[in-house]
Amino acid sequence: MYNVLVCDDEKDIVSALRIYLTAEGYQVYEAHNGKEALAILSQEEIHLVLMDIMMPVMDGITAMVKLREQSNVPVIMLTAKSEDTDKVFGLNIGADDYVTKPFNLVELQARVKSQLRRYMQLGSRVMPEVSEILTIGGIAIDDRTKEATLDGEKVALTPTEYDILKFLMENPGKVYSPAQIYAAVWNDSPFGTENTVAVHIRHLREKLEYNPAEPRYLKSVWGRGYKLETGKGKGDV
Amino acid sequence: MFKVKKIRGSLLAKLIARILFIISVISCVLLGICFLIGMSENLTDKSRHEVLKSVYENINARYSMEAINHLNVGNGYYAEYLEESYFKYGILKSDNFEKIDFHDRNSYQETNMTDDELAAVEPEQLYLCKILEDSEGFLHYMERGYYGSYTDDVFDEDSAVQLTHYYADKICYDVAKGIIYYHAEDSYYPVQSVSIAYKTQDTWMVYYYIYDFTKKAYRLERKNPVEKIPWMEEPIAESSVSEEIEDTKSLEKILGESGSFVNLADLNNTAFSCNDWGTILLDDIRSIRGDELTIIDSNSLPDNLFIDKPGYYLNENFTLVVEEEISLKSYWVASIVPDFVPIDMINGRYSQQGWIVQFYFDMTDENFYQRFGLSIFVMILSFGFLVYAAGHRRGEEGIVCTLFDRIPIDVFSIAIFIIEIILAFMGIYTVKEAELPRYMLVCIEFMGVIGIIMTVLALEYILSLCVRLKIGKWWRNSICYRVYNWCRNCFAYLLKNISLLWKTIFILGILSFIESFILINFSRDTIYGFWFVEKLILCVVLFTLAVQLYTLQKASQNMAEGNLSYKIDTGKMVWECRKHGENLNRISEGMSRAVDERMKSERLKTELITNVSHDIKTPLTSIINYVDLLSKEELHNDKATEYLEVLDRQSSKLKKLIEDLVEASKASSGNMTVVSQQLEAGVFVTQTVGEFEEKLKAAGLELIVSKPEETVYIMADGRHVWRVIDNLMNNICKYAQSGSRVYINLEATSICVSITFRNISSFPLNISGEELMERFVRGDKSRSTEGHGLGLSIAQSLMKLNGGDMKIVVDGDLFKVILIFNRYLQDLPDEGAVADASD
Repeated sequence: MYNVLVCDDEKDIVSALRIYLTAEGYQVYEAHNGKEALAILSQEEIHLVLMDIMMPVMDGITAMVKLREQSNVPVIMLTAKSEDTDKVFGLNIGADDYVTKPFNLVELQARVKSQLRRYMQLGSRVMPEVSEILTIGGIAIDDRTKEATLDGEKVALTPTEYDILKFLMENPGKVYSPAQIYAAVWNDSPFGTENTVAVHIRHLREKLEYNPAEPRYLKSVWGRGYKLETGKGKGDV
Repeated sequence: MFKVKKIRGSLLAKLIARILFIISVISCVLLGICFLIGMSENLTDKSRHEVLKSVYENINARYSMEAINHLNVGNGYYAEYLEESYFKYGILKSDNFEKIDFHDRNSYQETNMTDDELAAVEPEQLYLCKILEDSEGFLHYMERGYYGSYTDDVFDEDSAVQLTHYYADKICYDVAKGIIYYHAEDSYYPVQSVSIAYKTQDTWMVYYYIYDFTKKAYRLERKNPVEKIPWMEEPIAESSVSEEIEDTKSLEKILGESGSFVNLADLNNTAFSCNDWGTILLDDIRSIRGDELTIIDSNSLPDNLFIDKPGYYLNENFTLVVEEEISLKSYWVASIVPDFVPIDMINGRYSQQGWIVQFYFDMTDENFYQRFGLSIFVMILSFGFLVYAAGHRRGEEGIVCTLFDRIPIDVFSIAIFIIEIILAFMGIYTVKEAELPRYMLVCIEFMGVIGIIMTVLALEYILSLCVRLKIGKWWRNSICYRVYNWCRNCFAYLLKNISLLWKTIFILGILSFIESFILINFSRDTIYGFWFVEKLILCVVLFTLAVQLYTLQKASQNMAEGNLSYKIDTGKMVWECRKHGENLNRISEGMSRAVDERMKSERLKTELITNVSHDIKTPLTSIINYVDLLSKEELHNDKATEYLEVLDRQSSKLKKLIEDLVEASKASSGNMTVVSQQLEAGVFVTQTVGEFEEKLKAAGLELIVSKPEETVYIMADGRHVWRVIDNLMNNICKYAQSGSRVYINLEATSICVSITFRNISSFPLNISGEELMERFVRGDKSRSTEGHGLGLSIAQSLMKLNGGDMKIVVDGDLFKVILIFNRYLQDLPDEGAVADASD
């Protein structure tokens, strides 16, 4: 049972989030401005904060800065500001994730889950000694069983999809063109066949991402190829 | 100084100063005249008596003449006049002074002396004047002096030479004596020098004769050979110089040798008779042909018609000037110089002149220099005060103009000058009139008035000048300046208002006129000098123009390239260039202002849209969330579920629309950061296939892709390009005819790269590509058709932002979009994987 603090000046949004997160089994605390949020944070043990930016009395940015002085609880920013610079700014002052309004509740729930898992579990988790297990963010593959897991849940992948994922996970952050991926995975020179790579990537994304339109891990670098993001969140621009 | 300042505005003070000035000037002038007269007449070391005596002597001489006049004219005016005066005279009958008895009334033709006075006459006291009367009746002094102080010889001259002009009506040749005469007034005047040209063989010989009055014949003065006869314009026809001159020797003998007397009559019957002489020269002035001479014979004429003495000559007008002696009538007037005559300005010369002498001596006494100095001092002081006070008036600040001071200076000056000249002439005339004793007093008074008027005028003129100078810009108030100003304004107006073309024609015209004027009127050296100077000036002018034109050209080029902040320094420019430069500056200012405003309004618009969309997003979030929550409830109602789906779909659409709106406004205002990278065009095609494979399949579309074998690079922001492709592909999925094929072709030339999307529209497209793109901007009929969203508009803006272009071609149902990029030719530095720069 995790304690989640929802902070937004719009009461309807807060109650919608409360309904949803309570249904998921979280204990929800409500606040309507930064000051209230800080007050609750100082009294209760909170595991995750969902915080709006534009709020009366004290805005989300100020609250964020104050909060980071005491705690490193994961914070997901909820905001109508969708500019790139806004996102960068929010992440730079200490937010862990950034969700723009209007958001999809399912996606938000996934992000909440992911942040909580990393905050609550990853720190104490003992890395497997076996080198066959590769982990990037919430994704892990076991080369012995050829199985992949997302946030601990098994994901069914085809062998090709698995190979592509493995290739990308072995070289996280690097951009590969479809032709390079094809050459590496199929061990063959690509001749008008890169299109299949793109199709596989999309399938992979659908399986691994909560919101394939805004992937967190398997990203398209448009006009150049694909890469596997390390999932630290801050590069999510 | 303080006091002076105080009274400088006072009219009374000025009036006093003026009067003082005039008095001092007049006194200065009088003293000056006295001084000058004293210097010129050497009066300084003479006593009053001596001066008075010499003055009286002069008066006696004048009266003597008047007495003769009186004698000739008869009684009346003069006699009456003479009787009034102290003048005692007698006109002598004889000039034999030895025998004259001055006491006897019979010795005089006329006298006004009484018998007692005659008896008291002492001959040594008599003042004698000799007066001559010429034939015209004019009187002249000849000599004067006291009896006994001269000899008779002095008075010997009683005849005079008179010159008479006669017109020589013809020129005659006396065939008897061989002498040429002028005929005038029935007398024959021998021509005193004659030049005759005679041809011997090839040369001309000129014989020059002089008439000798004693021998009454011509003497050959000289003979000399000449090339050309100076007094003849055309040489004598060869034929007239007779060829049948049989014995030249004898002819030459007749013509004579130097110093010998000749008789030209000897030539009469020879081949060189007077008719054959050709042109001869008389008295070095008059030329005449030999055959034009009038032939006379002196033997048949009386001798007294022939003048036999010199004393005449021919003048330039061919008139004979004859000197004639005339006898003159002479009179002797004896008069008594009075010792003393009472001083009185009215009666007679003695008293008037005595008064003047008195005045002179009064003026030039021992106090002369003090008086003179005082006058000059007062003059300078009053003048200085007047100059200082000119234009000031009590109770008014600054300089006050009177009516005088407003008259244009040139008109004023000329008027004053003319009036002064007229007055001066009047003064001179008056001085002459003052000779007559009757008018003396009036004339002196009149001259005084003239002098005062002249002085006042001069003073007022100078004071007016002072006022004008004090006001400053005195030249402005003049006709000349007004005319000049008017001309200048006209010229400026013309230059300002006529076009450059006419101006050029005008200047060229003036230049050409000056050039032609100089060419016609001046010598070669002047023309060279002028040409050099003109070219020098022209060079300077053209060079200046060229430099300025270059500056203007550079500036306009800068502006054409979009550098609107470029400014021209018009401070050093002249004429039209300056105007042009200023205009250019104004254009660039206006343009940059317009651009700035445009940018500002675009930015504001974008900000407005962004902010509004933020506010819309918050309620939209609730809507979407609650729709989602509602859909998770068990409703047990099919209709409710159906409605919820509509809500879900439409709220999603709204969300997309808002995002598109923000995107579109940012893209179209360029308010978007572009991170350009080297990208592979082929990868886009591949990624398109990958991303849309399923969607296309769902829409029942078949995708056909083609791309070149070589790797084609472009320079752009990958996310922007993807956004464009994404929009296009979504449109295709939505609006392409199900079951048709979709083509994506990548083509590359050496310069550009194009990606073409082609599909068959499921709806008829009745609007053009441009309208499709601008439908949200223009908001007209095209909105009624089923829209492609803002997608195309955003796509267009993004392409432009990335330095590319997007074209839409609608050909029936064929819908074609072409994305055009500049090709980037450099290869990737590393063929392997490269870390994403956006990390």
